[in-house]
Amino acid sequence: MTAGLDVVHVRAGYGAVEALHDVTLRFPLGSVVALLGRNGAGKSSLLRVVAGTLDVGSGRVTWRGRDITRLPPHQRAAAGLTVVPDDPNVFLDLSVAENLALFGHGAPPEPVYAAFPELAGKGGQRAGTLSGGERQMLALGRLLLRPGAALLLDEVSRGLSAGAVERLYRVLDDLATPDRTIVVVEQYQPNILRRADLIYVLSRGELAWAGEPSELTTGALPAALV
Amino acid sequence: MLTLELALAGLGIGSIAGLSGLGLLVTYRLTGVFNLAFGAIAMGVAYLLWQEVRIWHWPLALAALFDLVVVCPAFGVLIERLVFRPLQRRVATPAERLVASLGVLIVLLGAATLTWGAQARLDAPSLVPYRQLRLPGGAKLPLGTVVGLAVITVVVLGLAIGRRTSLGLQVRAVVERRELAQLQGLDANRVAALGWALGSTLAGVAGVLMAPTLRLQPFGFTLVMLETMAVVVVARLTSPVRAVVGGLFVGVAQAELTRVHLQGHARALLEAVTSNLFVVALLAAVLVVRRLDEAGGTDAGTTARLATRGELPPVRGWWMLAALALAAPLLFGAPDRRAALAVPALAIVLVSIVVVSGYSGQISLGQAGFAGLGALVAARLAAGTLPGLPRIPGVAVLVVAPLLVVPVGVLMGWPAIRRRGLFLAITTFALSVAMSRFVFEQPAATSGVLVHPPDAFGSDNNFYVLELLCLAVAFAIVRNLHHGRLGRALIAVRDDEAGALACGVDVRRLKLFVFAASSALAALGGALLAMGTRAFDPVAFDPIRGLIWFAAVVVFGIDSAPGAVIGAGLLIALDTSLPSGTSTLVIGCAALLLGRLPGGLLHSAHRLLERLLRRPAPSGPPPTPSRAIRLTSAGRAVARSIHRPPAAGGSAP
Amino acid sequence: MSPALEARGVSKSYDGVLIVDHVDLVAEVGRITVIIGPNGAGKTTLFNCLSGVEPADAGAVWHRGDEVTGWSSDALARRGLARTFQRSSVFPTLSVADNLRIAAENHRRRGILRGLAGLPDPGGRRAVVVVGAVLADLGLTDVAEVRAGVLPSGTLRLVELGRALCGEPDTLLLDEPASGLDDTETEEFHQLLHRLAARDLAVVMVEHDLALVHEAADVVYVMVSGSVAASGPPGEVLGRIDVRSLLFGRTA
Repeated sequence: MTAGLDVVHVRAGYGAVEALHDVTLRFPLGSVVALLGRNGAGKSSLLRVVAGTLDVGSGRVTWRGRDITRLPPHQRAAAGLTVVPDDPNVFLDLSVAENLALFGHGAPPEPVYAAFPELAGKGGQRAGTLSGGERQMLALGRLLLRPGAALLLDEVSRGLSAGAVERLYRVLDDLATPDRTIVVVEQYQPNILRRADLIYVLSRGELAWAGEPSELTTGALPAALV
Repeated sequence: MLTLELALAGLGIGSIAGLSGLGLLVTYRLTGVFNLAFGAIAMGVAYLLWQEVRIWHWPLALAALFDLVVVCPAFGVLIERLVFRPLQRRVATPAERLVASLGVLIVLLGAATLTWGAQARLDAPSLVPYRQLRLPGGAKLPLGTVVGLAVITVVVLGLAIGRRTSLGLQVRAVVERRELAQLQGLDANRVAALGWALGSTLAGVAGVLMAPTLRLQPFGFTLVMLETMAVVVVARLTSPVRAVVGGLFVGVAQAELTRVHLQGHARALLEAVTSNLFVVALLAAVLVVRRLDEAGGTDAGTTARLATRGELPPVRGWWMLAALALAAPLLFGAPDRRAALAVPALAIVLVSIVVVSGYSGQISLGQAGFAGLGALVAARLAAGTLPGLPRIPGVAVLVVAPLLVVPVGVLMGWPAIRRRGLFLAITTFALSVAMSRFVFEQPAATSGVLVHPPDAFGSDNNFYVLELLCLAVAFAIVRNLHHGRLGRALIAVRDDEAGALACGVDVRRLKLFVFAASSALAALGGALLAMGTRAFDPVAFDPIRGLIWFAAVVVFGIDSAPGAVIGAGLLIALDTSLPSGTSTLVIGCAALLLGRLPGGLLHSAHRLLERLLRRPAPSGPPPTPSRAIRLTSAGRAVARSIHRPPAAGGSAP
Repeated sequence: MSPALEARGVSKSYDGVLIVDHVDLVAEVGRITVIIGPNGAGKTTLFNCLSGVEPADAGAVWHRGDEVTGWSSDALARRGLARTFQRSSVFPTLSVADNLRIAAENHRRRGILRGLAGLPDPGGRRAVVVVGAVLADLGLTDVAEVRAGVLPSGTLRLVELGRALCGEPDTLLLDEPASGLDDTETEEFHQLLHRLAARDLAVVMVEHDLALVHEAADVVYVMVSGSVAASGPPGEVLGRIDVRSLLFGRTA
């Protein structure tokens, strides 16, 4: 496992409220990492720090050895960091096809329609008229057009039926290659525990638990999760 | 009946109105902000051109080129960078962005009043030489109209083509959800700056073309430009073609109406309608055009984010400060006390804004209309010249006049049931403009109106005490609106309307009621305001004045009643001691800083004090009571999160 | 006895896309009726039409035998038809107790002018008692004075449920009430549901968790692409091969 995305001693927050207290997390290339925790544990804040939409108070963020702490968000995206935020993660006023064109820089959208047949034939439909599940499919599906070297996904399974979650994760399985880092943020989702190489549990802005899935048996779930 | 000549003449005004509306619409499409400052930017650029050409004697072409190619885009980029970008970064609500654009408007108004004074200039330079073009068939068309139509065509075509391009797609993405666009690798700041540069340039073009046909005067010119919002509303903020057609239609209709001749009262009414046809159109548009909210964004929400959100307990100190500010004038000398008479009256007006916008979350920009109406009705009641009603003696006027204004408030509240956020703001503003143009400025309504305090309160001291009594009554009403069952229901509506409905709160009735109560308070304040100056002055109740009052309330804390008193005191103090325009400038600057002062000035000062005194912030969960209680797992989780356990498990690998 | 809630031929479309397509539904008193289905099946939209949050394009709804088609959601709430939302609609600036109190105070219309004049609310005492009872019932007593905005999502779901209960409803519509709850919380929630149904409440809920559905439901409606594909007792409906393939995409 080589140097991928590293978050080192990061403090960050909103105004007077600090959301991350000196958090250090490593996401090596070639790994699937599950980032778990309750609401308000700091998971989304961590993603925003990585994406560059939340300023870091102290500490640094590095990507493949390069310090990107002060890099604006769009340049991070250009460097291969793809963050899919919490809902709404597609442009509701743009059509499905326009959403795909914007992200894919004109790449043909067929792979997305192949992976998610629900979206096929809805290219001209405004994304705002899609159901919650279809939006998640669009948000995840467009990654297939131009997959970055780091994919960070915030609660993509929220509000989905068990079958839909399984299919989303199968798409992720295909994307998990040795030169890519995948970070999946969830509150609690048994599906990811089977797939992850590494699990971090955040609690109240701090790292509460780190380890491999085998160490995380239901009997010994970290207190921060339940 | 229609004549071609008049129609062509009407095209002149129509094309400029269409262009102005188009500029407003384009700014909205490019930046996602309904830029109320649009009219003020147009006014500022028109003044700048006047200064360069008439005072500094620059060549007209050079000056125009400099203003439109350098100044306008630079100003657009500047306000994007300093005002709107910080708001975007923290995902501000539409209400916050509306207030920011209001701040820009007010700053420009204040600066223009300070620099060029309030008097009107009639010699604005005309960019297009006056020349008539002969059309086939003998009709004539001024060159200016042709230029206006040409600019419109270019803009509309540009929009239609640009929308589908890759840049157009990027702009739409950034407007809809800036952070998401950045995550996809778009340089949102550059796209937004481009939008603002283009938007202010269009404002400048509209202002420069409009100026020769109008009197150049800070408030008046800005208001005329704002009236062209009518065509934007007709276009439901989406269709540029509709906006242009709307502008042309109103312009032509205005010209054609000049042929109609009537007698007596009908004549005066027709003249008022004709010369204010854009106001009529705006009013008709906001009341008639359906499904406006969908165009203005679904959560074009309430003012909840502007409020303090109960993070800190209310402070008694502000009440002391407010009481002190109110008591001081009783010790003043005569001239200062005369000026101070306006403070409690204005405070009541500002409190009426706190009620409607702070407590129930409805943006109302139209309180100046109610205040003016209250002043007028009170004066006529006291004189016995209100048709159909007897003379009302003494203090009773102050009770009857506000009650008579209540139906108007309910009328304004009616659209508020369906409209939200942006379109509610526009609707209330439109009604206030209509009241100003069709009532306050009509000699039939205001001539011969004598205003004086009730007999027993003729002396300044006594009248001041009467005002304080009225203010106390207002506060008592406000207190009941903010606490208890009503207060909770109002906060519920402000926080989450769907949730309030699900709780069985009759949101419609509650909103109507709040508008009614707020209009009565504004009317009371307006009546006192006029009595204090012993005159009814339409300028005192100008719709633009209403915008400044709203901004002042937001600055001092939109849900803070003592803030309204302190704000009123500060406004009057600045107005009496410093050159006119200063108070406007101060309020505008403070409104622009709101992005950094969430919850308003007083709340921010409070937070600063808390931090300085190092008292533990009461914002976190309070400690659990010591009584033993059976907990569900959720309750236990909360309890755990309060008594934090030592971090379990390992650290970073 | 007429059912607590009955819908006939309810349809709704957005931008020409049919989201809910002629749905018939009956919810009986004392029963737990669960609507399941893949995402985009129109479950939440159906809920919105039933609870008056948005008007249905066609069809009719009866509440306790009276037709209430086209009624607004606040009027329905005062009639005794309460609902919760998929996304929290708790009032963040108010305390938990005040959140509940609003529902308790507004399920009967009371004079606004009375409140303005500062007169005491005649039903105020009763409201406080109801709130206290519901808080205790849901185990929320120790967070009663906490500002709702700072609470974790699992607790907020309970607050939202408590708010619905404070309106003293006879029909409860719950939109994914168990989402965001952990295993223990889900288990406790499930027991709570049975206690509610035993109090002669009709419970209608949207749920994804099939284990919970199996355990709790008396009647299951399977919604696919806007219409009801199957309905009946859970053991019967969920065992059907065609239903399983509808729910899981492929046979799982």
